[in-house]
Amino acid sequence: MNDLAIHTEGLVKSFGKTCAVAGLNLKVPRGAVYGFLGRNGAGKTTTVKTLLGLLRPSAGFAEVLGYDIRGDLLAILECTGFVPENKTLFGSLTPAQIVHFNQGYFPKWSNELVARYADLFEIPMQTPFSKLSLGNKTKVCHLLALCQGADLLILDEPSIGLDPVITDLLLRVLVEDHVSEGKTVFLSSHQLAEVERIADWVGIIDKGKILLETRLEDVRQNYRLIRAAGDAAPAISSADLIAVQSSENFRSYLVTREAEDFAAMLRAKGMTILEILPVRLEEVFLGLARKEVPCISGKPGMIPAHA
Amino acid sequence: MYQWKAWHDSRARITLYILAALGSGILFGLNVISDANMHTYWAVLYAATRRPFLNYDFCMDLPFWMLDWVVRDCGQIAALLAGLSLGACSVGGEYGAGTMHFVLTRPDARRNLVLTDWKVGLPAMVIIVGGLAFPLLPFLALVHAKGPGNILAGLPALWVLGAAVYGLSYFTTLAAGSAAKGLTLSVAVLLTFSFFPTALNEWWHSDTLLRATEWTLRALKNNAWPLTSFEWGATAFWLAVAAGFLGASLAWIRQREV
Amino acid sequence: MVRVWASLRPELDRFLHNWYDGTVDLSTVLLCYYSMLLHINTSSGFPVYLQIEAQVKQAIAAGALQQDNALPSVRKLATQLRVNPNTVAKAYQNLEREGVIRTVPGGGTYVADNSPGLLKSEKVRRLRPVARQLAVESTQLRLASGDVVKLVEDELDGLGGKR
Repeated sequence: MNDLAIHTEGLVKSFGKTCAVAGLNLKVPRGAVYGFLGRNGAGKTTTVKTLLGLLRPSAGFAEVLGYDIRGDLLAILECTGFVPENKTLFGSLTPAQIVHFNQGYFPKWSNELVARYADLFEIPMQTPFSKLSLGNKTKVCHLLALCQGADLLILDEPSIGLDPVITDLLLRVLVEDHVSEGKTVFLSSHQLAEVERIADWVGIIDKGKILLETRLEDVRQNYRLIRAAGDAAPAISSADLIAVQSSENFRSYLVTREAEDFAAMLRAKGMTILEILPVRLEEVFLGLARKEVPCISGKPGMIPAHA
Repeated sequence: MYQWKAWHDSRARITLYILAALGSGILFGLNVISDANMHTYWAVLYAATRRPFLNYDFCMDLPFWMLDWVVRDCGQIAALLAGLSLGACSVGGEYGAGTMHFVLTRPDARRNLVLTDWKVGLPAMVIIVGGLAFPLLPFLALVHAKGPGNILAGLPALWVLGAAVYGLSYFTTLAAGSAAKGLTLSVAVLLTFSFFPTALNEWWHSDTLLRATEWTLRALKNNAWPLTSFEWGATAFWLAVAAGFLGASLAWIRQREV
Repeated sequence: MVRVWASLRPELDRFLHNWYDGTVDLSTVLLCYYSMLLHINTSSGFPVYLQIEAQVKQAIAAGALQQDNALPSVRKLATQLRVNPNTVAKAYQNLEREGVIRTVPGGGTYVADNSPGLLKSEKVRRLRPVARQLAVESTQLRLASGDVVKLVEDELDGLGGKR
């Protein structure tokens, strides 16, 4: 048993000629809350499905909770709670019946948690699933995953259809009942604010490869946005620079560390430093993933984590 | 678990069919022999259940075409419809409903989904077909015109045919992803089986296929006749077809991606 | 003091349980109280653990948290703020290292003695980034240095008596 909840090396999944996952190296530590971010079509859902056996990998290695996805899939499924992107369950059954169906699969199932969460999230347990609103359907999917006694939770787009109150409650439940117990949460979401709130690791995927995998503390502590003005547009190449935005005489440099040194270098090249700001996760994501701002770091496509 | 779900999904259908089959069978049987001795009817039924593989020698003077029609057509229709309809309750329907990713991420071997479906569906089909045929059997014995015979020999033929059709319907629903598409495919296969050999014979003058299909259907023809002419070959053929569809379904679900 | 508190707690719990129909217990009330003191903005880019540290210090400076007051556990505070427990743990660790709070071996975190015993040079070093920020902003706004000094003095007076 190593200390990684999810570990992939060179994972590849292609559909005919399209390569959705092209050599993915993912390392999710146990007990972490890992925010998995990426644009639509970057390969997030394909990765999640491959880890859970819904898709067969074309090549590469992947382990979940120490079990190989090719050999020990059942062990993985028993210990992993999964909330899929498509929140559809059996339409003719009520949530209470779906719970009854589901509980037989999991020895660590807890009916007390079912009662508690059903009450907390205000889930109508006796209404047929097909008649529920999208928000209630999402809640039922979460209920099934949360009461399973899982060591790893994989949540794909968890907040779809949930109102802010329920989202807040969900985050609270995740922190209190899962993260505080040392369980791992793997969160794939477009809601960067939520991810920024509870994640301590973040991984950004683009075109089937990891662009960035680092602790969120590193982003908060070391990543800086340097706003500078000047006539010249100096050619800068640095391993720490991950994005540049230019307009007229103003430039914004997103650096991963040693912002002061970088600023000093800019000053030496004749630019005036306006300010050095901390960056939000959204800015890092946009800086890396937006098309018109290509990554110009010394090692394009891969940025090592500063642990 | 999945068995509960499989039963829950199909129970309304199954209950309805069993009641319909039993009802029709009983009504038919009682109606036709309303003039006959009721005591004889029950005696035959009782004797048949006690020692099903011995021959009985009851005779009555009724036209032969009635016997043929009852067994081949009614029983066959029941077997076909029950097989088609129950097979469409397969786990394949979960694709169309969008719940397959949920079903396949439950910690259970995929083959168990298929096996559980068959565990619920096959017995249901057997009960439905038996429910129709069983009340008819004493009637068959009573109209037996050619001498001693095995009145229960008709049932296995209907059952294996029903199992084969169930297998077909199950596999097509699984492969096509929804009950509707599956049924369409199954019906297409059945129609091809029924008419293509005849067409081949008429237009290309090749009666090989026709003779082959007629051989397989012999199991349905000689029902109440002596045990020695029980069609082991044709019966085994249909059993093999059913087993083949089961194997195909197991292989399919093992490699399927969602 | 802690023993009195511990013996009173079940009574308070029961009272609250009856009063609020079982939806509120003592920890929740305390958390509401504490979380009103702490307001975290996770999208400001400013590290959350620094925000927590700063606000605990602010609460102590303003007298809202007194010496030997109990702070919520890491887990409870993380739950209430909806942030990762590691973040809260880091903030508590830093605060303990600076001598602002102390943890008791049996569990529980309390506000410590309010004189960290640092050298004046160390205190000055810690405040320098804040001072630099103030200097930059006031230069931008072209505020005279006399006005800046008066501003700082007003703020110190506002905290009153707690120095």
